[in-house]
Amino acid sequence: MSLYRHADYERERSFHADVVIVGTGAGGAAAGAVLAEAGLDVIFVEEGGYHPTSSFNPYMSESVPRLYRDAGTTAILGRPPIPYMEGRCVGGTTVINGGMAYRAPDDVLVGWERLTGDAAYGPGGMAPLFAEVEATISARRQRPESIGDDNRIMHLGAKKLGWKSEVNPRAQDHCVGTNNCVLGCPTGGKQSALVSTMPRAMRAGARCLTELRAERLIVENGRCVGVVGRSPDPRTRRRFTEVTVRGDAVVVAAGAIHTPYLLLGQRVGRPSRQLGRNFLCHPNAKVMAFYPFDVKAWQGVSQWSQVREFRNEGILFAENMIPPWPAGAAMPWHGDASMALLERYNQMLVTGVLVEDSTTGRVTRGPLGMPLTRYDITDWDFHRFVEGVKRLSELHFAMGADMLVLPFRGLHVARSMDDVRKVTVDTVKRKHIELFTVHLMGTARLGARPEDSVVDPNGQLWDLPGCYVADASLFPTAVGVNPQVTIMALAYQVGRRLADRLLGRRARAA
Amino acid sequence: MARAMTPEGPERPARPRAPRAMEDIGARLAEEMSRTSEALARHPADGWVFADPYPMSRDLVGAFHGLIRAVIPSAPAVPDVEVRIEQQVRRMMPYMQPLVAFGFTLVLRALDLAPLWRGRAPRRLRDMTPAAASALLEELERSRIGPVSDMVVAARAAILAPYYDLDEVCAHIDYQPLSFMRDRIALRRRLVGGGAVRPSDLIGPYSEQVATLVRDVPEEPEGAQ
Ligand SMILES: Cc1cc2nc3c(=O)[nH]c(=O)nc-3n(C[C@H](O)[C@H](O)[C@H](O)COP(=O)(O)OP(=O)(O)OC[C@H]3O[C@@H](n4cnc5c(N)ncnc54)[C@H](O)[C@@H]3O)c2cc1C
Repeated sequence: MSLYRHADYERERSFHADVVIVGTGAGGAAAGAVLAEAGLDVIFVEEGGYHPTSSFNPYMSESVPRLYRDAGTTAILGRPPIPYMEGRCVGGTTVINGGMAYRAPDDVLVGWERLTGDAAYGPGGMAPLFAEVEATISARRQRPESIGDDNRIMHLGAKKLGWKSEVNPRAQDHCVGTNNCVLGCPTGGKQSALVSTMPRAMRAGARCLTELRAERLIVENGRCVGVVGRSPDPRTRRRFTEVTVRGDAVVVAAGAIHTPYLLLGQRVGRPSRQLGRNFLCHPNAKVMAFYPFDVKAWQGVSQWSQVREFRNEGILFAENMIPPWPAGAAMPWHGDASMALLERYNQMLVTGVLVEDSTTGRVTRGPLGMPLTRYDITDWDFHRFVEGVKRLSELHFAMGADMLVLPFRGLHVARSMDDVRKVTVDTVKRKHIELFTVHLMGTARLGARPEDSVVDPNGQLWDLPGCYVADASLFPTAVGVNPQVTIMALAYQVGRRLADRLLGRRARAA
Repeated sequence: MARAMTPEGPERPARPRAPRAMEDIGARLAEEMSRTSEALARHPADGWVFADPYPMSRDLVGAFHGLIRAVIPSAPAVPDVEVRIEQQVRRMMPYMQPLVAFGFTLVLRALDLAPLWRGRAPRRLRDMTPAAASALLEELERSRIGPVSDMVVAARAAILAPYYDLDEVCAHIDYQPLSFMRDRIALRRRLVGGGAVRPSDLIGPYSEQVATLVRDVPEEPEGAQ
């Protein structure tokens, strides 16, 4: 048997492997694939369930509880609070992500090389890993038959204004623009971990324990030798079965919030006190535009292009259409006013202003198994959001939109640029900007010295031998682009180095 | 017996790589992970068990229904709409953090009693007409007291998300994803199998305005990066 669910733990509650990997998302699945292909016995421990491509559908009814952490009700505390989304299923957040596949820019990697003291994390060292990741997830531009009218409006609108708009590389193989990325790709076109790295690991003999949440690490003689997990009864989610998984090494890849959450319970990361700190999240604000003609933005790929004209200010624009249910839930009206807008759903475009972090937040352990994440945007971020929303509004009005819904409480509706100009850092309050995020990074940073980082350049915790990190937590600083390619590249690096160590040891023992 | 220590930890006997049978099972699973289906079922049968609804007293359900009536649009008419939204929300609640789920029940209570603590009327929200209750919620949302406004935002999102996911409502706003998605699944299968793209496979333009745009500024051709 290679895939286990809750019912299977009635029979088997104790497992052994060479490597235990917590999480099957961008990082965990990539690390698991290289470790398993190197000939090591790998077990994944995944809190979420296993949902194959054939189960994906356009409805939220079951998709949200199946695929999203906490049924999508997660939020970062701060001024303003920032709701965030994370996957909780085999394949992790890649199953619900938009598929953009960007490399971390060279200027960022130059900094990483300096911080880690390891050329492998610099532009030269990362380039072959990026190329490998891009081959794995088939990162490439979209085919013409996947492009819809919202893509055209954004891209051509930017061109009309003389702004730089780049066509995105996306993790896709024959994507046909179904635009169901956020509920799992039903065509198999999006190359999430579920259809790329996890199958590789499974083919190489890995096992996957699903519906099992790692609750604590097993530490013996100062070394991490496994995890103890609990699997909730699927009907009540109140009774739990405890499962023990032992291995020669444990790779934690539970994402940038749950990795520090798990490790903080272990009282590690002490030398630098950096564990849980350096939380980064690329906050973004939505601008919903209504056009006086049909756009049917739900047909055609999500984010064909990005407007990168303001990249040097750390501002990006992108279109990312969402189904009616999150659109209706996010709009600041209810009753008939809400329906009046949703009746124009086919004329609607959802676009976003993404801002590169200028500050960091912190993850701590809260009550009842709940991580607490705190992040406050800075004055500079607030200013960039206000400016970014204005510029994006300009694009929409230039392309003929007749109404915009802006992300400012109390100042939502704009019917012309005159309305938009009323929005300034003086007329809206920082706490009234409506933000959102999907990029969570940086809470167990890589570094050269135990005094200012959590893990060493091999990805191993400075103060817990045998315990490695291989996910977005590793980022020493913000990347300013969609992170999955960089996460996977880091996970390949950590996985390969770990495989070399374990196999070297095995050879020596033989 | 204690194991010998190496710099990497205790020595373990070498373990052969996964046996052949294991890899075969893994290969089958790997294939299943990517296999598509045109079923697109709302309740897919993949062996996963959907949790029972979050427990709520009959009185709390009454409060919830009152709030649903106040939040949803008056048209289209949808059969059993209150029960369907209530059931959907209650089936999602077991997946939430327990504190968040419990907090939501407090929000339901607080909003049900809002006419009283707001000094509007000596009755509960559920006893008001939907129009009056809706107006009161609008007023609460504009409150300067952050948590009061936040309660309305949270309740509205929790109710309108499942509302706009109902088949009848999707049909009303002309969002019909099933036929589109089935066509696209078939299209991808054809393309992966080596088939050529036909003009009818392209999406849009759906308006003269966008058609003109595309004519004036040609789209970039597909290309490697
Ligand atoms: C809507 C959306 C759109 C996005 N779009 C893009 C995009 O276009 N391009 C891009 O590059 N990035 C995008 N991202 C972000 C990207 O998907 C994530 O940054 C990436 O997947 C994070 O990888 P990870 O390995 O750190 O964590 P994840 O992929 O989140 O994986 C973590 C896994 O660990 C599991 N887990 C957590 N805790 C435990 C535990 N205690 N025990 C067992 N298992 C546990 C989780 O269930 C999950 O499966 C998007 C994200 C979202 C939500």
